[in-house]
Amino acid sequence: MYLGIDVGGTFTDGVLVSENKIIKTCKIPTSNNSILEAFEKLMDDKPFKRLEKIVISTTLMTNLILERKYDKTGLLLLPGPGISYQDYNFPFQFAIARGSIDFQGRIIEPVDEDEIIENVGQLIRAGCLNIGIISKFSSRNPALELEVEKIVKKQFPHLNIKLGHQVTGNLNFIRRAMGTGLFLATHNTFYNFILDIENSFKQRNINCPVYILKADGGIVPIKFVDKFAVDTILSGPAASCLGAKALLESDASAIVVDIGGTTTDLSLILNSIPLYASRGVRIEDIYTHVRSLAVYSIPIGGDTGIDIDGNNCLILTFQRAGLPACLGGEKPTLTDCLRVLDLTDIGDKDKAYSVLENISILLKKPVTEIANTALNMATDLIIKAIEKVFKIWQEEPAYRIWQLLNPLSIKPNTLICLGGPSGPMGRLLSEKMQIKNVHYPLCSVANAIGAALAIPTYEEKVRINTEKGEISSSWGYFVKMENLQKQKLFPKIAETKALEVFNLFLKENKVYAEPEIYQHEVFNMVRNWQTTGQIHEITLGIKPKILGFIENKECFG
Amino acid sequence: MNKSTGLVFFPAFDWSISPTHPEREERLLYTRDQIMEEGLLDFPNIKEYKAQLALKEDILRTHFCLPAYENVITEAHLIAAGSAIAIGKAWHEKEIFNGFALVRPPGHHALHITYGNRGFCNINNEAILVEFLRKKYEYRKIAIIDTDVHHGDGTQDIFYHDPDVLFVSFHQDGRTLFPGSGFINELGGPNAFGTTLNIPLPPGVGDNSLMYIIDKLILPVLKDFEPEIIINSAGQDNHFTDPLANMNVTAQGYARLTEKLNPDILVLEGGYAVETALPYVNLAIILALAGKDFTGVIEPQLGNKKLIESKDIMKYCETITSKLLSIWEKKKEINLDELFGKEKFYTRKKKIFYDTEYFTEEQEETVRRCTDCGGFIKYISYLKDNRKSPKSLCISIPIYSCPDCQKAGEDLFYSECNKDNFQQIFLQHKPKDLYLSKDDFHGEY
Repeated sequence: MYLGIDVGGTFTDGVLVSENKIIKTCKIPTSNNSILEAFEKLMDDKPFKRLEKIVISTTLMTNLILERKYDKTGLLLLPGPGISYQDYNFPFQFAIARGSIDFQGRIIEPVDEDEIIENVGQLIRAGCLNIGIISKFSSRNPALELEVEKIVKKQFPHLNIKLGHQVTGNLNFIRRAMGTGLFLATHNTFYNFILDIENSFKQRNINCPVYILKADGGIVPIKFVDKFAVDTILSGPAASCLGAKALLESDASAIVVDIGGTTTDLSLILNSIPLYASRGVRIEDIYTHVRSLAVYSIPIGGDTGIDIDGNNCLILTFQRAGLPACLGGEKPTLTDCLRVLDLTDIGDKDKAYSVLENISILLKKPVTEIANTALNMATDLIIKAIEKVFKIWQEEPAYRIWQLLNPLSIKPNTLICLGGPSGPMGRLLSEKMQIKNVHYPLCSVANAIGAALAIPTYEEKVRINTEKGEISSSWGYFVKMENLQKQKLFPKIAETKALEVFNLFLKENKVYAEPEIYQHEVFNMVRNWQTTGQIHEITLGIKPKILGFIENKECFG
Repeated sequence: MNKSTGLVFFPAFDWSISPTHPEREERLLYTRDQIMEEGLLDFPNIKEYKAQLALKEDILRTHFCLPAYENVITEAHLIAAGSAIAIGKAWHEKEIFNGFALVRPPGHHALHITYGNRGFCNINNEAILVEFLRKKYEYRKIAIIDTDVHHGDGTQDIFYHDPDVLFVSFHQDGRTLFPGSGFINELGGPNAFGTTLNIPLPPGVGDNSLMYIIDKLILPVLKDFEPEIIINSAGQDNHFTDPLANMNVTAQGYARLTEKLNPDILVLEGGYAVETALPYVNLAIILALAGKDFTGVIEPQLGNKKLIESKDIMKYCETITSKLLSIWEKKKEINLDELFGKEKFYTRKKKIFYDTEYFTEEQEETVRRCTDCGGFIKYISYLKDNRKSPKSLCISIPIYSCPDCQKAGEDLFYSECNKDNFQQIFLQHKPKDLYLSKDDFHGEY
């Protein structure tokens, strides 16, 4: 049995899955205690020992970042030559120090011990006890970060230190620095949250492994999650997309429309694989290195209000109008429109009617026409956004000839709507788009299904520079190799080496799965017309999969 | 106006002329690393566009591909040219304030007639862009500033008779560097005299002397010409570390040059110091385009050194500036008949060496002299010492040609197709966007 819990802003959803069948679902208002509450509701009196794993998707990290609930954190940056410091935009105090590394990992300028102590001293005096140390190109050579750490530790032994290359080995200094800062600034809160969960499960004698869902739809054992804390941002949309996948045919290509109270998240499943974003997650002006599904959000949802503008035209307000009137709110919303048209049976139809009647009187049009017009506007906006998602996907830059000559041309033929008003909205959207609509009552807890069925997934890079005899990686692994063939490394040997270091990483994190090579590029390094070495760039990982497809979707509930 | 910078980055990581050739997969690898590491693509005012493939008609609008299109064009070339067009479109649509096609392979040594690879170039990305912009959006006056260390002889060749295209190239003197042309007496044909300007420079020119040339010569000429678009053939091999040339320009110099020229569209040309120059020069140029502070982009090889040119070099730059400026100012007073003769047609013979492919083209170029337009141009071309090479007649009718010249060009094609003087005949009819060969001709036109 797998148990999945998705803690959302308003509701916490949970499911219990056994042998590809949903055993039980629950939906409760989110509170401090909702994880345990959901757990108890789902388990009832079932024996805990049948539980194989629990996966939790939480908005905690997203909220910490959005609400800027940071512990005081300072960054010591070693940028070397490049863009101006004026263009840095961090929510943390930072200081600049000498010392730089180039793209090949060569040390261009050494660090200056006095300057470092002086700078860190200032950060400490400003109240920062968490210090991030980030040098440009540290993934190509972490030497300067390590050296600075040593200097700082010796002088200030009680600081909490994190190095950039430990957070991510991907290129992008600014995002790496941001990730390091976020890690430090949220670490305590996140760690306490994890401890709470662990303890409360322990107190109940639940010994099955507990995992946390990441933005890429992969899971991490709760024991290791503090290392990947920042990677758990925006795991909700990933959970939904995986859940949709579990409810579709195993080879489906579909548009996933997850309609919440105030936002609608759009994502794509292409030949059964969710589409990933080409750049890291961005939340407002916080740019991170976190890999995620490609999710496009628009500010429309069941709670979107309806109003009249100065020209007596019906408009959507794009602001939360509070609860829908049919559910006890005061203002008319899209949910009320669905209710008066009998497209849903949620809530009180009379209440929905009476708030829409006010508009109807002002515009001298029947209530049903008002409701239809508003829903039309909303579906038009969602369809426009879907088209935009396609455009973004198709206009994604490509750097190789074969990519341009062989563009992916999968056309999703199915629409699956998730979330509260998903049934009727899905019908309206699919009619307009003339596309197959998939809907089950289970769609309202698809996010929890996705969490329950998620397994680890990775896409990482290994770079081998034979001239320097160095192997570096996107997860921060770096090693010097004395016995590498210098001028030419056979592709097979390079790939074996890459898999070897990747398997080490997986083992460290208790992941047992077969990695695959996705792409392998070789660059001959030529100096003075002589080949002096090669750079191998190998992309490898574990394909995003789920544990199974739900079989009892038709008859459940 | 949207003050943002568009970027097409197409490093062609799966294409090279040969594994150890300067024009190989590795060339833009570290530029990519630097751009990615700096997080440049996260800047809100830098917008990345996807590379595109140019269409066959885009190529034929600019070139005669001999002996046949398929012999000259590969997909890599279509993508480099198409990417320049992608930036051109975004610029025209005002999605961007300026844009940079950071692409390879380069193109500025590809002439009007192209037989294949010459100076690492097969087709001329900038010229293809110019003809696209003129055909699709009706621009007319365009300036191309070639800042590659090699003379942009291909671009010069294509627009030599075009009075609406100003071509300015500064480069290391042709006596010391490929392709061995670009002297100050190459000023354009009889219909476009003065709209080609060459500024040959001695080895050793650095930032200061270059800024002098920009400030005192190129900027005044640009101001006077009043182009609707400024295109920069942005070669980066004037850099002090370039292995194929001997100049002393720095990344700062390139950034300041870019800031001063304020080009609308840049297309990457040469530059083969793949580690010591390209990552820094490209970064500095993009920052300059985006209006960002570029003063922090200092090459590790430069460090605290100052590269100051000798007094002789400064003196040379002053002299050539005043010489060219006076030619520019007096170009309307020149008696063209004295230079080009009094005939209705002006003919010149060219031997064009293809260094990569190792053959020589024999070419005879004739332009119809006209006071209203660029005239039409005909070429007779074949490869020297190659009996298999067909003798080709190529007729080009410029986009803004007058009705007389258009008619004369059409008549020539018509009459030659009825004769057997040439094995191949091509017509490039830009006003009608029509690109024909003798095989398309069936007795009427």
